Amino acid sequence: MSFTLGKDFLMDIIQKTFPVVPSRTSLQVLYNFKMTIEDGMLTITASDLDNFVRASTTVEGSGEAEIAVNAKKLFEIIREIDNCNLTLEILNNTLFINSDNGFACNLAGVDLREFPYFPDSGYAETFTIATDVFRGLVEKSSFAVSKDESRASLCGVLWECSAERSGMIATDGHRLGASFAGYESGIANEISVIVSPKSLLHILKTAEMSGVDTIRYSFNEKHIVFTVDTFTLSTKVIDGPYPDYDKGIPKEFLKTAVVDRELLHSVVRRVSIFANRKTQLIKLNFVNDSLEISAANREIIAEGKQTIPAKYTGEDAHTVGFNSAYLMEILAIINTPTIEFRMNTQVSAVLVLPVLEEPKSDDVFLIMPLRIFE
Amino acid sequence: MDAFFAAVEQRDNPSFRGRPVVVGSLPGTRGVVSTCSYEARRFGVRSAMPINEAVRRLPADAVFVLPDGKKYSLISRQIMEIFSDFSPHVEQASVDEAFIDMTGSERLFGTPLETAQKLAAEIVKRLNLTASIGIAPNKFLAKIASDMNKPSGITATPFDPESIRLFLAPLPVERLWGVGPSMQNNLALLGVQTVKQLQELPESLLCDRFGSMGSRLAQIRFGIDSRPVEQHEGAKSISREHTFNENEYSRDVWIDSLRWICDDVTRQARKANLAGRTVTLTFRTPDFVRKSSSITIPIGTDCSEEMFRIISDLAAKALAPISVLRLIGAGLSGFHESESEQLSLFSQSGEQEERENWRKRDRVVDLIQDKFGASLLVRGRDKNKKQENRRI
Repeated sequence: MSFTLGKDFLMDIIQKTFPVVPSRTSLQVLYNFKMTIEDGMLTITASDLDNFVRASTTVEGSGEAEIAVNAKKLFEIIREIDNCNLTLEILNNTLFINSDNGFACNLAGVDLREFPYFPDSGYAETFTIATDVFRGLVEKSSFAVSKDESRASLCGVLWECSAERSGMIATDGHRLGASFAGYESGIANEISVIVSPKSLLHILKTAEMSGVDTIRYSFNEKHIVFTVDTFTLSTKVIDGPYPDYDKGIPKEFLKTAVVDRELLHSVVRRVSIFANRKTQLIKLNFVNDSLEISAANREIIAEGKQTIPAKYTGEDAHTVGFNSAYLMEILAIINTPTIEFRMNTQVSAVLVLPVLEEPKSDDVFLIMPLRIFE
Repeated sequence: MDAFFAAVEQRDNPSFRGRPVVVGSLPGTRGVVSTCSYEARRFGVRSAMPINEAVRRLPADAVFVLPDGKKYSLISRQIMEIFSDFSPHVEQASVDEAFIDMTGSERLFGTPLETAQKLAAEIVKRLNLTASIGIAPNKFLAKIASDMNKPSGITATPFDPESIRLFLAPLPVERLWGVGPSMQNNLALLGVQTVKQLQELPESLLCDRFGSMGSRLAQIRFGIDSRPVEQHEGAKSISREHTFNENEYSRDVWIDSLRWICDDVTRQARKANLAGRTVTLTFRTPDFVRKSSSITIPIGTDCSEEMFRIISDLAAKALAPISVLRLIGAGLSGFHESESEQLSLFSQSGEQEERENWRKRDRVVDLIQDKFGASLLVRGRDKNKKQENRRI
């Protein structure tokens, strides 16, 4: 039995599922896509055991068939075929592909029984979130996740949901991003789960690629399942507990400063060229109505500085050191014209907040300073 | 410099002059000769020879002194200052050796030979020490030339390729830069013992057999060396080793040694304002097998306690199958300037405070030891212990 579909439709579902195929794994079957044809739909499934994805598209032809073929090979072949109609045929555990314009190939299948089971049943309720709200939450938090695998919970984004509000928080201990949005989620009890940033970005990208404005999701203790159209992603919840991030966020401040965001961003970018390559140290010196940004590299004996206007409130001048990369990351994510620094001592957490008239933003960006040795 | 440490001792102690002087460990210990005077070299004493072997070879009037690192590094700085009066391009190669790029200085100092004579005279005049100087078109040849007529010799190599080839031809291969004992063996298997024999081999054979080292040999055998004279970049690693007087079976003693070695290494790092990311444990068993084990941490340290904790972890693993040691040591490398430390959100109360306390303690100890000497302030736990061969 054979099925026909346009190359672009096949490429679309391959692109949505391929990112989950592991580049190295001890379980050989995971190098494969599982392809299922049923009720006029072709479904591709991929997994790295922590994440499962499934994407479907309609095909012409009737009958049912399944096969598992090497994902990388299939991706490479389909990418190289010109846009035309493809005829797929599954015979004796071999996938035959014929294109309208004369290309023909076949790929042998592997043992399908080894392919892991897709964990998407047993969910009581499905909730929805608008794609643009989701994008805000993900982008303002996921940048701060830790890369240190020895603290698994910090490698994920903490997602807190309640009936009227949702928030995503991430921190590696050196900086923190937390974004909150109010919306009717329909969730009765408060839920918090730790999710891998990779899967959040994957679902966001898929939703944007498909032009879909709502993402559906459901939880259980072990997995979260996201659905966009005919695309489904199930990701394993990362084991907690997540550290009490709120305890680390200061609530009272001795010093504040309001600065033009874009100007500061361009100055930090420029001055950081002079920062020590390894520590990336830049110094921010707040005095009266100005902020001096400076960096020095003792290895190549070079220094750079620039002073910009700032509305600073603090009894004395205040100097604080930052990793310039951390500061720039936050300045790129905040999208308001001005930002506010809230500070206490040279060694305590600094908040960098967007300045918004109305509505007030609950987003929090925090950087831990670099302690400067004099 | 000629027999640098020994020459300094002879200069400062008139009674040592004309006698064999050995700077190194004291007789009866298991250490080695660091430097010896030309009088001692006549008896076959060499650097790195076990000290007791030197004792056997030398007559009764020989003098054995402990090295005085502080004094030598002070004099080393004075030597480098003299060099920098002659050229801004000075690459310090060791405590008593440097490459000086004299390109374009003829009008200031005259011919290369005249320049070298002025330099040698200046060193004698200002420091009352002698140096040997090599004049050559590159660093490799300059080093060869400077070794040819020690002490107080000035040697110039030819400058044209054919004469350089002939100049190098009679030398044994081990004089070439990069030919150590193992390369020497490999070359001997090819029947190569002199540079002339090496010059006759096809380049392809050298490259196939020795890879990148082979292509370097292919150049160096004809005296081709394009390394520039570079300003010194500062220390790449700081390490300290301790040879036990007797083979040491006690793990407690090993660990105690590591503790003061960490004190010493991090103290040097702090003085140079450096923090190292790679901590290395080195040890040697009585069969002279040398092993090392290292770990790289995300943020560099110059803190004794932190280094000691890291090295203890390394030692727990690496020394588990070992029952007896001859030598133990520790080192710090992968330096960056210790200008700042990334603070963390979650360890503000505990870990960070602890590190800050360690840091403060290190600074205070540095201050006191700088002012009153290292022996004034020791750890309480070390107070009643025998200070085995210990010098900071």
